[in-house]
Amino acid sequence: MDDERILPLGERADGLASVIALRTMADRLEDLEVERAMREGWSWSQVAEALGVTRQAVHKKHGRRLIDAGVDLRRRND
Amino acid sequence: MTEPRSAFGTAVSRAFHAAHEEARHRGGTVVEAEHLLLALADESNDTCGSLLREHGLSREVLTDAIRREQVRSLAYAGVEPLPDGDVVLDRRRGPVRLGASARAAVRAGMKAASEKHRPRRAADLLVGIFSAELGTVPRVLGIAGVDRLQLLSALNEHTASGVAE
Repeated sequence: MDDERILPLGERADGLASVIALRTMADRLEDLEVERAMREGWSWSQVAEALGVTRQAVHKKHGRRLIDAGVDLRRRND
Repeated sequence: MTEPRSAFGTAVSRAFHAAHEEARHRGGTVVEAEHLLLALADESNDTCGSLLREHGLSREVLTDAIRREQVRSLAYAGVEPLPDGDVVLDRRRGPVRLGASARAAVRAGMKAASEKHRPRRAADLLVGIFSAELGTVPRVLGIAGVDRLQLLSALNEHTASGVAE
């Protein structure tokens, strides 16, 4: 293999770094969009269905964070 | 392996705590090498902060270079970053763990000291962080216009000189 091509800012490294950047961005986007939906009155089940995950998974991942963010989660037991 | 947070002395122990906050502030729960680097660049970190600033790596320079690295990486995939105002930050809770790049930096820093048969110093963790040839930190250095190998050489001189910390 040509070592000169293995550079931290080379094209291949840019491609691999884009994977990390997209994963991080997807996480942030999920936080943002789940919070928006819950603020607009969506239920945990609806958010979970839209994301293609279980209600338990979305609640576990975002419940505490949304309470800290001041989202009113009462009457969201569905 | 020695507990990473206490392996390089009190100043670095505090930096690990600060790195956790850096990771959380950026919306994550994994501390990577770039979070450690930002924490060590803080002005309150006497030894590492001043060493980094001597080589043009203030916290502001690093923060800007990390942002530019993210923009560049996303651009490869044809994606623009989220607008700053839309990003939800600082709300992830729960345990924060050391990511692969941070663990590799700790291992490399410990190795740097043990190979020279001397006590570990705070700057050894910087040596560990800058030992990575690929990944976010070397990309950030390249974007900031800092020669990684020259920097490593200067840090190795510093740690060998036995300057009190």
